[in-house]
Amino acid sequence: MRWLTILLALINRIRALTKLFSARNAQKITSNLLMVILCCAVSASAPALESDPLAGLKQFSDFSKIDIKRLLEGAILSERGPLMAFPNGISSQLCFAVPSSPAETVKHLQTWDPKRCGSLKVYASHRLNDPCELKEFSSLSLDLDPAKRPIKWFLDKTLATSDKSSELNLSQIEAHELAGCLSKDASPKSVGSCWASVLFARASSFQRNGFASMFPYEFDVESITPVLHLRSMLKEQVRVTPEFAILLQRSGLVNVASGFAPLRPSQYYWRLFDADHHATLSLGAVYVLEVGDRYQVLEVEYYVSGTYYTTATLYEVWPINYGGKTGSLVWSNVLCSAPALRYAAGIERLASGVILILEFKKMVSCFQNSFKTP
Amino acid sequence: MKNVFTPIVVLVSLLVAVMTTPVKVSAAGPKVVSQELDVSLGYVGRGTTLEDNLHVGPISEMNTDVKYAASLPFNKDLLLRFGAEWQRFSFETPRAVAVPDTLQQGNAILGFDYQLAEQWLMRAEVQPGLYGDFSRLSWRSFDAPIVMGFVYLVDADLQWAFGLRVDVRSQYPVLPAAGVRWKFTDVWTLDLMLPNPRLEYDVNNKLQAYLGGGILAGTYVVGDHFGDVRGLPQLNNATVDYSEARLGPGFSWKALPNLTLEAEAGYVLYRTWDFFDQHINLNSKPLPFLQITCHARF
Repeated sequence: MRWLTILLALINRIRALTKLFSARNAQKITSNLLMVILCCAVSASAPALESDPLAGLKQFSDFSKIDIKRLLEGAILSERGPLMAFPNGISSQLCFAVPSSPAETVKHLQTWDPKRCGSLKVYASHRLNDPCELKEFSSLSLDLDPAKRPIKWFLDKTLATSDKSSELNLSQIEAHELAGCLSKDASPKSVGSCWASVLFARASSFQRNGFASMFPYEFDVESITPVLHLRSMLKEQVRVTPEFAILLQRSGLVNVASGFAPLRPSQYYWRLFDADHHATLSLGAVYVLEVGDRYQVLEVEYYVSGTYYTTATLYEVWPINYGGKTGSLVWSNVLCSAPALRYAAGIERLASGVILILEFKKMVSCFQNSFKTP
Repeated sequence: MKNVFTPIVVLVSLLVAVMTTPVKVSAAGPKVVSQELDVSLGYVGRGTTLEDNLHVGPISEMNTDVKYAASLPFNKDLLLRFGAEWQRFSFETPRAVAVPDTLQQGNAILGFDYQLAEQWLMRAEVQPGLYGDFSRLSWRSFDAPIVMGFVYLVDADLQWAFGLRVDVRSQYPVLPAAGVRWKFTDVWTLDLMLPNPRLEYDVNNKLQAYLGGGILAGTYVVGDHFGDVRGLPQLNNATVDYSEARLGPGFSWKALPNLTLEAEAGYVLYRTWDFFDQHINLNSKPLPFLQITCHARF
């Protein structure tokens, strides 16, 4: 991996030089170089079709010891990722087991209902067709109950949005349209209807053009492009990205190499949930790749209305058989980019990584329990 | 002379022990330095001050604190901390009472942050430097207090903290403390962490109002002739524990993503200069104060 180290050193040097250019040009140059590095990294190796799950895990994960028996009893292993050079990013890895085959586990991952687990504070979760229609967002109006404080916050921030300012993750065009849409009627129903249009436009664009379509958030200190954040975080996952090389390339999250057919997401969704006491909307896509006897999954929140910018979660799901019990061993790596991390001091970023693990563990625990109460 | 080097030896041993513990080194190993700069300036109004229950006149105070610290990842779980701090209390005394004109500290900050377990983080710092009235600098002024804190993260809204301050020259060489931070609604947070416990209200994402307490304290050595000029020769080279406890409302404004300005006012409920070795103690009745602070992150 020495060549990669040299390339990383080079990119850091060039990043320093790009400060001489305008922010926009610098972002483009850095982005292009990141793409080159990512492509090189993910082309370096590809996963074997058949493999021992524990041996495979040790190659690319942060878990050196795994007790399958404990995992089958419900234990969840976790490791906070190292502090990233990318200032907005944190990562964590988890490993757990569920009592179903990999195919069933991957299917369940896409179909289980997070609303049934109160600790996740999900208000609404809906699958979207491909292509989606505006009416698939119509229930949003019913979900925006101002009696709930996190939703009241979201309504207030939406109504405070103007052409020139917003505390939400929006492009200038979206803010203009949202403000115009709400100029005559500011009721929660109208807010839901206006947001439905914003989400529909983003989801449709993503379904047509994938990651190339991701509009920036233009009301932060600087313009934020979520896909660049995802690529910056993936760049630092030097052991993980080669394992998911084909999936990352075929999804288009990193440059598509010749010879690989693009992979369509097997699921699109929108959600309304509580993030740090604030109601938050997100749009997501799930990519699934079957690799021999196991599966690889990439779930991306390509749009988030606030609190954080974007997330990507990589899963690898293996069949396991231990002491007569069969099931799936699931490893996951969650990457999260958030504005609050930008200037967080060292120990604050350690704490953020711990919090990410605790929140993700809640989700895994709910997912495991969903097998008991179908 | 008390062995002031003991804390350094303890902390250096601890640092060496932690660093030599076989900890998994991350593959990427990015060296990300984060930097903090905190500057504060405060004024405490004139108020009645008593020496052993006898009135000695009003004493006002200016206090200044400048603190810089940088955090450097050593490995995935260990961050090293380096920095420096200068703190100065300036007292305007009407006559030769047993209150030094200034109490100052100029110290280095050496320490580390470490993840002990999945939900446990710790910070340890030694603050070696000079602590005195700076009328004449000598090794007598050297001290190296140790501060240790442990945090248990229950979830994003609730964290418990346990701390310890060790200063072998103080009347109370070991001071334990416990605290909690609980965000109990989207806008209210009870942050009972020393030395600045607060009840916070988020007005919006940039402005926060709070009712806060504050403790300023330190152990200092006064000069060779401090007692002579005050008719109290037993106070030459004496050790004094200075402490004050404050309470008042304030505002915190996030002027930039990496720059926060704070202003608070209220009362210093308790202020004392305790020459505990010589059994001479001065304290003040409640006094008004005003404080402005700037926190910058790079």
